[in-house]
Amino acid sequence: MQKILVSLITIGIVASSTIGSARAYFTDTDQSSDNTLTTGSLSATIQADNGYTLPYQFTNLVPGDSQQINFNVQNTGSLPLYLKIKMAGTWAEESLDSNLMALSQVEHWNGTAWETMATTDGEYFYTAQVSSGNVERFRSTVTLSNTASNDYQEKVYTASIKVAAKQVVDGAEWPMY
Amino acid sequence: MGTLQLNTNAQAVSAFTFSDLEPGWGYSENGDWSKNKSITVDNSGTLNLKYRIRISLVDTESSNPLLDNLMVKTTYTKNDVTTLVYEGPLRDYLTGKLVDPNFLPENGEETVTISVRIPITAGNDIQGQIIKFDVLFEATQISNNEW
Repeated sequence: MQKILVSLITIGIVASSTIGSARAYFTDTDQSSDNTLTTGSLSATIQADNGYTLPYQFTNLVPGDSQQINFNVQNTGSLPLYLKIKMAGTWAEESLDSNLMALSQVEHWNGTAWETMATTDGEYFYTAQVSSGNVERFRSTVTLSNTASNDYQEKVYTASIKVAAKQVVDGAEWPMY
Repeated sequence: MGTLQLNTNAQAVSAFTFSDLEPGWGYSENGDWSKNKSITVDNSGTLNLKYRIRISLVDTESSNPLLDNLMVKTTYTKNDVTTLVYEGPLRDYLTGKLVDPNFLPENGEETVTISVRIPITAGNDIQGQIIKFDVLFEATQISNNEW
């Protein structure tokens, strides 16, 4: 019994000796402080232009009729951006063709005159950079196709003008609307 | 008894302070890294040493997505030979990246260059983020196998 006790005590001493033998090394540290990196924000907001209120409402349209909508887009982020614009909408009656109501033209006010914007597949592209805080004026023309039949009488069409923005750096892609 | 001492001019070199970062930031026209800081390092002790760079966050949550989207490249130049140390997200530097594994006192100075950029593929989740950090240059004996 005495031998067993001695063995246990020996094991205990070895264990504590191992724990206490952690090695130490010389070290030194130098540093660069106060590094701060901040990302920007990209945001475009549609605003009503003078004399117009949102949302716009037109009544008594007939085939071939066009109406103008003026609106502004402000760069409310911190980064410069590019813009594109489109309209998307539906008739209250689902069987009617939503393509018969469309943006037929979008123009940009350059400070002295309205300029027609380039279009591809129903999207209108503003190709100049919009700086942070800047407001750009746009005038769009909405047209009910002259092929619209009597089926379109007294029908309601609800649409949204949509704006998408992207960074101005190479390789930036357009987002979904 | 020897001495182990690593000196840098990291405090003298202006810190990384950039704003309005965005995807595609930090690229030159030919695709190179355009945002760089070069820091001079010298072994002014008597012992050989190794050193690493470690990032210590200041007032910044470790969940900040910018830590995963900000790419960092580190190189060091010794005796006119430049060696790539590591290239990867800033988050990888939180645990430290070994720079020079064998820096002798007689090597004189060497230059560490740290470059940063954000790939164009980064998403909207990094908008409006701020990260603050210290860059630590930590040296120890070469025989220290703990890092």
